[in-house]
Amino acid sequence: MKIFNQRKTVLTFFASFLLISFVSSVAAISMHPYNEDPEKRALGNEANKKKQLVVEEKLTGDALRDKILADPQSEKNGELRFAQTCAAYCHGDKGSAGEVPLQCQVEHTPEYLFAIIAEGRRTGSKVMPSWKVSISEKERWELVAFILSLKNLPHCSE
Amino acid sequence: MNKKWKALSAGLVSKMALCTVATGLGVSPFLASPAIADDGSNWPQYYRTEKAWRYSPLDEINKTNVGKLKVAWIHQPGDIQHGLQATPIAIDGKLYYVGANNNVYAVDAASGKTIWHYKPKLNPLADKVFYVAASRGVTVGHGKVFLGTLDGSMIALNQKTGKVIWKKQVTDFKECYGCLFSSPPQLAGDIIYGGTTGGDQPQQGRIFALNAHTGEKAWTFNTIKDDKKSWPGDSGKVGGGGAWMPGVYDKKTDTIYIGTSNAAPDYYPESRKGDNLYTASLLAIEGKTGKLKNHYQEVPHDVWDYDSAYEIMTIPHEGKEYLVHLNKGGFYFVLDKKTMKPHNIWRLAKHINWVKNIDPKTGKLSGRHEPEAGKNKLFCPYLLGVRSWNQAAYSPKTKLLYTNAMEVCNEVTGAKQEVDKIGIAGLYLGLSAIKTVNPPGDKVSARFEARDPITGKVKWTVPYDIPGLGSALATGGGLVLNGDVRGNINIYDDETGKKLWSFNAGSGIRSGPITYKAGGKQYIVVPTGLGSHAPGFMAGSFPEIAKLPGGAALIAFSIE
Repeated sequence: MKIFNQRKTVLTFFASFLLISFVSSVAAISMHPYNEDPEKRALGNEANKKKQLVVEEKLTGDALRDKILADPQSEKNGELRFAQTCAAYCHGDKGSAGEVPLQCQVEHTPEYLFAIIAEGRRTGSKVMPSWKVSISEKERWELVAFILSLKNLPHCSE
Repeated sequence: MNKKWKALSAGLVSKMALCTVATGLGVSPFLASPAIADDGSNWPQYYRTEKAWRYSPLDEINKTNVGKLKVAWIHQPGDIQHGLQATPIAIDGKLYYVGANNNVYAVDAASGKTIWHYKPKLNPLADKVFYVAASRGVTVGHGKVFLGTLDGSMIALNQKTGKVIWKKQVTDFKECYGCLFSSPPQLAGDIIYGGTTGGDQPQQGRIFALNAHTGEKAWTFNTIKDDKKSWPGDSGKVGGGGAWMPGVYDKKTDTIYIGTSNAAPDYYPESRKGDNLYTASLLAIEGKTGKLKNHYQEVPHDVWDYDSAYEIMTIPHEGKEYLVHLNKGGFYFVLDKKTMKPHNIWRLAKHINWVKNIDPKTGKLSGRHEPEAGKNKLFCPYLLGVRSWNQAAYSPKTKLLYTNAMEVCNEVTGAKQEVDKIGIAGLYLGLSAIKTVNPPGDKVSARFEARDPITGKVKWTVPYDIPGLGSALATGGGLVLNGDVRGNINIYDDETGKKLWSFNAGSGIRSGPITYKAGGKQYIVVPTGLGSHAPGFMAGSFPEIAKLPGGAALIAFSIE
């Protein structure tokens, strides 16, 4: 009983809090100067985007991996970074060159690729530097998204 | 026996005489000076002499007996990352060379036994930059062995013991995108100088000079000219440049000749509409002061990654001296050494489409075919050039130049790149796509050939199915040595190109083979072991190269 009463008190408190928050948000939106000026609104969206980015950047580990690998834009971002950072001098267009094959590799797991990009690779004479201070965690997962897509190139099924 | 003794004593006497003269003048006998080099038994500096010929007058091993060459000894540096890229230095029966990750060795030149070994403690960031692991050699003089390190330091070691005499951090390693010394710094009298990597990074490449005795800073030359006409706005702050190959020093005129890297961003030049001095240029710099005496820009406003960093030969012709220099863009530039004006410009590459022509008398580029943002365009040669950095050789006996060459093109889409998104290992190429492709109407190909260095006329050609990545060596015995990426060390007749001898080392050649005498006997030493970034990228057009094994072994050959 006592417990129920306590729960009731808590629930009432939350309900009132939500109601107040909703009312004040509506009031804030309707009164917000951005609503009157599309340009300012756009700026506001930019600010929100930045906020969202900050939230994304705060994500780490599995949560960040899952978010980036699920986002269809990641593969495109990864492709551009791959061309600028990995293709010239080393891995070639879409991984078509390089000392380690990247195309049509069904055994590549996201975690394996991520670890190699972060830590680099030193096998015999073959050296790839560690990229963890050069490329952020998010960008590394984007690269992983792109490299994983290379197993689906048309010639892989030939 | 008698003959041997005579040769030995003659060599000793001449060397003693030279030492006496040199010491009398207050100059170290092994200042990498031409006088010492010309006695024939040593390989005292990177290109052997300041003429950069990679030629030794030694003729004990020659066309008649080369078939009897056998392995004399093998020295292994242990670390094989990026193979073995050095040119060893041979002085008075001792070799000095550097393996991967700045492992420096002094080795007995007759037996291959280690005399001393030195490895610097590198900044941990050295693992996280683009140009990891590989070095092209050390320099010996003033009783010291000089090393430019993979974290942007210069170090002087005691030549006898390998102990550190001085060590200076030279570059702002973290700030300059890991700019470092991949080549041995060179001596210019009492100055030790060297340029860094960085043509493809958003920074300003510099040539650093220190006092060779103390390591105190002498001067710094910025390869990005402080000139708003040449570099509009702030473009020069991230203009690339640098000078990543060894220069040569003309003692008579106290002049350093050194070539510079390309401008950055390589394929997106919108922000740097100017001639972009002093990128893609040959510089003549006063050794004592670092003052620019003269320069020649081979590719004004380079937009194709066509460095001018390769070796600068001095070749006599009809009573004059000429600088003979290969630009990555496929042209050999022959300049009057005194004026640095063109005497002739000839094509090593068969497939060139970035210009219609370069006027051989004025050097003026015509019919430029430039990259564009968002458009995929074909450029020949590709970004590794008509040849990689591995050097040519020249024989004064045949008056021929011996060089590797390749015919590969690339398709590139130019794109704007945000500098603040480039990390320490990142590249500032200004592109969104790049792909190696066949030349129009042809297939990718490679060759090793002999040419007249002044006119470019072909004397002979040997086709290679994969481009050679090692430097050539010419000798007074009428031999030309060129190793391939499979590890075949080939020796050719210098007049005909006929293969006279071959040995498979098991891993490819990406280094500078040398020859010298130790204990009165001629040796040929080939640093073997394939490595570097280049074979990876080349695999796009030569797939087999990716499967070839790496390694690192210094192999000495002699005749019993």
